[in-house]
Amino acid sequence: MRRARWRKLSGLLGWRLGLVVLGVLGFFGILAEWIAADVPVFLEYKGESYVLPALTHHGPFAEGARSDEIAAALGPGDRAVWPLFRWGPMTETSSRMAGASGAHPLGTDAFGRDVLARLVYGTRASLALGTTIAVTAVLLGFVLGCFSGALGGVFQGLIERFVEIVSVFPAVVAIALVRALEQRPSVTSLVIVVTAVQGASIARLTHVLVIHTLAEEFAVGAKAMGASPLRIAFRHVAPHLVAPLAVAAVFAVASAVLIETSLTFLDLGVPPTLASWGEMLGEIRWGAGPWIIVPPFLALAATVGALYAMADAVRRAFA
Amino acid sequence: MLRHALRRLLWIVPILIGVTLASFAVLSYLPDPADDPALLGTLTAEQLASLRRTRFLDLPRFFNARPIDVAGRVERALIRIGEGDARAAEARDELVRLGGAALPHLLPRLDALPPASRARVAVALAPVAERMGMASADALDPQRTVAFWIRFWTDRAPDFRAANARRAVRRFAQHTSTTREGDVMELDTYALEQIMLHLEELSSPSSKSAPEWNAPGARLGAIARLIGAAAHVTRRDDRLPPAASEREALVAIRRWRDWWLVHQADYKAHEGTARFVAMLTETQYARWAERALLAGFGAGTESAGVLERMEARAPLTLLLMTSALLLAYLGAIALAVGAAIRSSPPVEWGILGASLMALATPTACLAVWAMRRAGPALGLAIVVLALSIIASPLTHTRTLLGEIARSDYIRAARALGYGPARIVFGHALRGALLPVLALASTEMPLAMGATFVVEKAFGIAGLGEETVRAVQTHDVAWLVGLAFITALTVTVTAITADFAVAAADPRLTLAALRHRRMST
Repeated sequence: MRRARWRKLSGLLGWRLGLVVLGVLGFFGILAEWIAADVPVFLEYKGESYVLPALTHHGPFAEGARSDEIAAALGPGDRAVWPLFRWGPMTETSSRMAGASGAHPLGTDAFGRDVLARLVYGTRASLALGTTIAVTAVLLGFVLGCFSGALGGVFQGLIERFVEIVSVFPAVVAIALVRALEQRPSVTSLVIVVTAVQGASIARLTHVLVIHTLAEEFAVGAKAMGASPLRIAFRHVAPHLVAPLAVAAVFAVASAVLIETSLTFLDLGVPPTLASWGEMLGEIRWGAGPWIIVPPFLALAATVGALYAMADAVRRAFA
Repeated sequence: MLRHALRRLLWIVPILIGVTLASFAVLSYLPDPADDPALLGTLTAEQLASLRRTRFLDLPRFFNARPIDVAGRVERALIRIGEGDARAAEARDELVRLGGAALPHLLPRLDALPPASRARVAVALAPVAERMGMASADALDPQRTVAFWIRFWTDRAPDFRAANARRAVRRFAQHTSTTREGDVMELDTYALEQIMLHLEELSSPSSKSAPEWNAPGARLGAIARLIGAAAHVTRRDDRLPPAASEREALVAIRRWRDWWLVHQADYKAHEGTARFVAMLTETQYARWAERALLAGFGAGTESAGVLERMEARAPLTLLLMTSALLLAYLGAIALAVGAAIRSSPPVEWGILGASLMALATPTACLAVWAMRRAGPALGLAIVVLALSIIASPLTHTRTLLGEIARSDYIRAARALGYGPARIVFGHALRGALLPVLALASTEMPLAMGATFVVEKAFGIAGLGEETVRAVQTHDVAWLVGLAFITALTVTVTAITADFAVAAADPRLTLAALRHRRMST
């Protein structure tokens, strides 16, 4: 039964297409150091070898050393394997707001930073951020919703009140409050607040679904067999929640990136030293032209589209 | 229905408590000034203590087993002075600060003290006598000061009663004269509570039309006198300048109210049941909630109070947000209905693509682009905001219409040969409209972020602008106030929407309402 579903799922076009798109984006995100970085991928310097010095440690050069300085420091016996483009996401150059050129295939932003480099590093950050938030929020909402839907009584009252309290606070005000209290902006607080908001709405959704599903014959049958409410909820009802929760997760990923964009635009977002799609889209506040906005926008649209196609496939396979 | 209404209204109370608890929990994340390395070097121990005190950090969080009132403080000071230990000087300063409010707890016990410490206490009180305008040779001479204070108490004990203090303050506020001023000054800090109560009365709008303040400037004069008296007895240099305006007077009263909120326990005695009440009120949470609810969140870092600033800015934001929500929901219903009537794969795909595009388009980019193209206009801002929140109602309306289209009564209508337009408008839409409207009521907190973005892009001076400024200046009072007020508004709106839905559809029982609330 379960295997048949997976086979059906993996045969669907939407699932395959979505996997390919996400795979390509993930590939760029994971291999960011090979595509654009200040430091070489492999370095042989004064008789010592360094593999991926950008990741492991900073190698023989001081932190923040630029690629031309490193290249100039190399002696005749030294060897270096460079990434495709020799710009890190933070490297500021003198050509600001420049259009596409051979050195900068996607141009530069308001600080003269290479847009392509920021895009690949931003892909990594945004996918990680979005996935973390979506997975945590779905887990949180699923558990809370199952408990409140299955147990009823005091539990339901308490969880309902809790969800209600969380959901009456606007996320932007909550983030603003946290930002005002913090010494310096951190990513963790952003993740926590957005997760809480998303988790609350998913908990509501799960609660309703559980109650609807509990009225179905198989759930009533399980109850007649003497199964405990929690066993019914997690064992029999939960498989029926996969499809709607998959859709909810898609929206959670998209809204995580969008919330980040909005917050960056309001100067409340992640620290500007971190490259992410939201941060790049938010650069519009400094009058960024389309060549900065369009790449992250396309990446975001591709992610949302791919996730939606996958969720749709899950819905068809599991419904 | 009535029972449900009552229950729903009663639930507001725990929700409100929960909301205040949540805000309080966030606030307790603020670093303690005593642990802040940036402050430690720059402030003296005294400034640090007063900074901690304004945030009630000297109090326990939720329960105070031994609340300290003025009697307790006197007791502590007497012990320290009597032992003559290192903190005796501190205790003498404390007695001077407590002043008149401490006298009813101090002077009757003067006789019972050992002679040495009796003299020390009496000498310590000399600055109080000076402040009370009784700087006679007796009061200041160390040899005779004990006798002076014992005589003072036999003469004046009846004056140190709440009723007398009230009368003295009232007379002093109504008309100034040397004797009336002297009456208040002789009570020293004992009159503070009444002064604060009277200031509160004077700052309320109804006092403007009261007959006793008819004469021009009479009310402002009274406020200035009372504030002057308070400044004199507390040695706090915060007076009203002679030619102060109405607004300045109110701001000054608010500053004093804020100060009194922090320091009132020093000048009040907890007698009888008040002691048990104080166990709950002399805590961080209770004091903070009191400041939030009664004093309108304090003034924050600005001169104007949080509530006043909010009053000035909220209408524009609300106008923007409600009209955009309305537009988005009308548009979503129109689109969904259109798709339901002309149901065909291209239309379906078109709508799906449009809603995914709306979902993936950042509000900021859309708003800035529209602003560059067409310039600042409120109408355009509303349209942009509506576009950025249309995705959720569009999806919901479409799902609901799809579900309803499969129901029996629609199939029956179709079998009877009705056209699609009649089925949608006559039957399906009715069932879908109510849940969608219920959803609209909970959309507000989500729409707020987008509203702030649009406000910033179009340069609209609404709540968003002030919020961004508050984050930069660490104006926590504004942010907590805003969070609290929005949470309150959202709660009330959701309950109203519940009632509206129940009133429109009498079949809905309590259980159905509860499900609906969770599902929206």
